[in-house]
Amino acid sequence: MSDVRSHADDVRLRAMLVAADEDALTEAYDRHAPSAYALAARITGDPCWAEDAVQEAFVELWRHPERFDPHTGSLRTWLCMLARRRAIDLLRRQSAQRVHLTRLAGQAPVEPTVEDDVVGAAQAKAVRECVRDLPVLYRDAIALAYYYGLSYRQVAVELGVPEGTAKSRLRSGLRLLAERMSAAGYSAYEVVDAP
Amino acid sequence: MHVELARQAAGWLALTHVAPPPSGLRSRVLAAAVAVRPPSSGSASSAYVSQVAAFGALIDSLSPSQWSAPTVDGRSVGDLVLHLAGNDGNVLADLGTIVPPRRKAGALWRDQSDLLLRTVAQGGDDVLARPVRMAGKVPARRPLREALTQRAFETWIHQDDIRAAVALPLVAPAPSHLARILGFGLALLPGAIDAAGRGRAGTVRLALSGPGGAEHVVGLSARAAAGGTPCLAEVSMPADRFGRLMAGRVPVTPSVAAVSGDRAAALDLLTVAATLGCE
Repeated sequence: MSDVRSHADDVRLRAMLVAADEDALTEAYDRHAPSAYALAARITGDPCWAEDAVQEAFVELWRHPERFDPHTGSLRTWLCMLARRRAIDLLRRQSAQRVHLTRLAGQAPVEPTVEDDVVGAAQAKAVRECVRDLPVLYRDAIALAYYYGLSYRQVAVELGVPEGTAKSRLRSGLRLLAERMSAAGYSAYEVVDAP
Repeated sequence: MHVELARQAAGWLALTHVAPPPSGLRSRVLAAAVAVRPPSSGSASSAYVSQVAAFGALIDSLSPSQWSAPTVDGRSVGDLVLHLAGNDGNVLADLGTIVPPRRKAGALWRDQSDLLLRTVAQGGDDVLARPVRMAGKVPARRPLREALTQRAFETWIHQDDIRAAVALPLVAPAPSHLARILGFGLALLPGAIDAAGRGRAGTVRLALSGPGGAEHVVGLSARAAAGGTPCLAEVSMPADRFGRLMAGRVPVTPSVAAVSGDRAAALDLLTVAATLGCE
């Protein structure tokens, strides 16, 4: 989708939200909840907290749509910012509670080992770098589908291309990604279906 | 082979990818939202909402030099936005809403249109029935429900003015919104023809074509009921062009519309219609 068109959509949704049009909230949710949820889940590492963060972000948007300024950024960025802020608040609260509970129990909290983190983080970093270096046509389609959780159809709408084109870009991008990961010395990882 | 490679890549991506939100979250979010702020039930402001969105997107896209570009009547784009905000502000003042002052035209217009939309959304039918100032040369007060259609009309026309000033193509309102704006103007027309001293018995059949268009029978006086009076003339033109004519943006010339029958009656109707705008 072109920047001009998506900006016009954001401004339209903002006006409808100020006018308390529930359809605008539904549309905003369907377009942007996957991104906000993916971000909140990455921050909190907990699906329940991610849900809470997303809910609070959309309720905030509905209560105060005037605070979103389309001139300074997109609605998706705004909602992700709200979800991120809520997710961090939840983490902080949880963290304070855990310290409190740990003191009560008189033992150290169980954390993932440093090695687990390092191996996972290195692989994830390699994948992200590989995605980043893909030709832009493939990279955008893959980022929307896998990082923002959009369906084939939503990817097509976002990119302003027919569904068939979005599908073929995703397929070609995935093939190229696998070839490059393999060339970089990484063996196949557990397979999951595309969204 | 290709399929296998793609499946491997999807596996790699799973390292950095999170599942989509659970399906039940959508209804929970919507329920939590409407519990803290009830949704608006009416459609009285839908044409205005749409024009606010189009106008907002347009002014967001203007460069600093475009803000000082001259418009059709010599005012700069910035002055025109201030003028529009001024007329929105009159409506808000009549509703008892105070708007914090802003120095920049764009921010002032956005604050005021936000407040108007929010006031209508919260107020319901009581607010829509309250009389407020109409924009225009002749002082008049009408219920907010009608004033909102006039706000949509004026916001559209000034959007056109700005588009023309910065060499962008003109954009007509959505068909249903254009039809509402035209209906608002046509309802005022017989009275305006009387006020201009051109009232007479008879009607004109106005055939407005294209999106938002319809056939209207317009009385040439508010004093005579249209039913049973003779149809003196027929006027045909595109609906969006008639809307722009009502705003005084299309000059009334003998060739402005296809006319049959009594040309003088038809031209009287068009000439007075062209005074219905709000500057």
